[in-house]
Amino acid sequence: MGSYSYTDMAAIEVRPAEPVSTGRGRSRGEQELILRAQRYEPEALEQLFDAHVEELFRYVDTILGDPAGSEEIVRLTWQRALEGLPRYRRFDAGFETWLQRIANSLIAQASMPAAEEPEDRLRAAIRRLTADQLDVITLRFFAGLSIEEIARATGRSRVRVVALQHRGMLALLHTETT
Amino acid sequence: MLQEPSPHQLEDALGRRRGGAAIIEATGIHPAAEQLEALLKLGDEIGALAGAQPDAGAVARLREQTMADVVGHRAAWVHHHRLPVHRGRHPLPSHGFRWTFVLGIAIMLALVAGVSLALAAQLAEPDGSLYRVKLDTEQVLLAVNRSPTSKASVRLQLASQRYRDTEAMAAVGKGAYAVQAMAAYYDELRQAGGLLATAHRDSGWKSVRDQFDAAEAKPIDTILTQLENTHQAVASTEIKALAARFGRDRKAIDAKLNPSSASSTPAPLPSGAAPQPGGGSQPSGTPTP
Repeated sequence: MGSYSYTDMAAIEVRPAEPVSTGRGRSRGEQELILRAQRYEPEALEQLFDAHVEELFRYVDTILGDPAGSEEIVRLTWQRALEGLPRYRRFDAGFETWLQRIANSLIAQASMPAAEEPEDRLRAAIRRLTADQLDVITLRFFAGLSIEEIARATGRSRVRVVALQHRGMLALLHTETT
Repeated sequence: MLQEPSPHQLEDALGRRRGGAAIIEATGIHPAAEQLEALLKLGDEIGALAGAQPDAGAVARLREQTMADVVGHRAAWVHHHRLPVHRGRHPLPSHGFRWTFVLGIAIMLALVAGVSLALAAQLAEPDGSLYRVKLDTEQVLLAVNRSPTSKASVRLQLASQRYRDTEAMAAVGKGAYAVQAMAAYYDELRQAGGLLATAHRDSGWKSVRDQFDAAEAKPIDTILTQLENTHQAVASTEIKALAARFGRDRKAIDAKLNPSSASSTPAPLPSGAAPQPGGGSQPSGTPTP
């Protein structure tokens, strides 16, 4: 699965359960897998890693546009995920979304390489958003989540998510035009 | 300055665009259409950003590093969640044991209650509610003594108790109870005499025989006086009759117990009791002490 075009995202919305990418339809199997992973059972963590590592890498690289930097962010994301795994409770929001949010917080703290291409300038603008706006914009446009799914994953209200999306888009537009 | 769309206007437009509408259609006729159109184009640009597929080497490195971290976390988790070793507790008693325990407790309680009741009954007098219990308890004493001599000894003790009961009832003017206790006194004496007559005559027998002599020689004058003082003349008369009747029986008993001196044994008859015709007992004006 490549990056999401705008029309792809519409398709994702109506597609039946794709837990890894949409944050919906969490299977009982994945929940049991996560419960085992919370006890740091190596087999369970290996399965979770295999299920999510490529998608997570693409997600991070969509924001960074730098494979080497993306690898480092993904490594740190897994490191943080392992530390926070026993406290993981948002089974309904999805494990993939949880990883993406960890990656977002790391990306927001990471230093930015010089942007040359228009795409890189857009990526740099996205990374300059506030942490909350970055969370909403990336989950909305790169992970393809709906407003409701983002609200559930981030623990915010729907109105608040819509407002963050609005402010983030305006900030990006302002950056683009200036 | 361009007019800005509201957050919900933007979300609605994004939704229409996501549904496949062209930008101009998604924007619609709107005061902030120009700004909205720019935002939708920006959305398209963001959505068009693509991330690279990780190469096999990157995935392998990530896997190796992650799984190395997992080993450390697992060791820490196992150490933290090591279950404490509890010392084995005593196994729970089986149902059989429990019932035995309950039965044992019930028997103990019954014994305690029975003993308490018997002890309380020992203080009862003929007009008391526990007097019947007292009499039953005395029957137990009789039952546990097997030999005629020891049974006779117990009966003599009971006779003494009936005598004291008679005194107590006479003192309070309860004539009927006094008569009842006095009749029991003489009955005990008769039965003790009968037992002694059939018993083996050894040193123990002689001792009990002396007890018999002492028990049957108890005076009844005081009892009669008390009954008369409390206006229990009928009871007094009945007691005199009981004494006279025993006087008649006593000669035969004494003959069995000591044939050689039977006729010379003095009779403790009260004054006013009917004289024994042809018997050894001689009534007198003063009761024999």
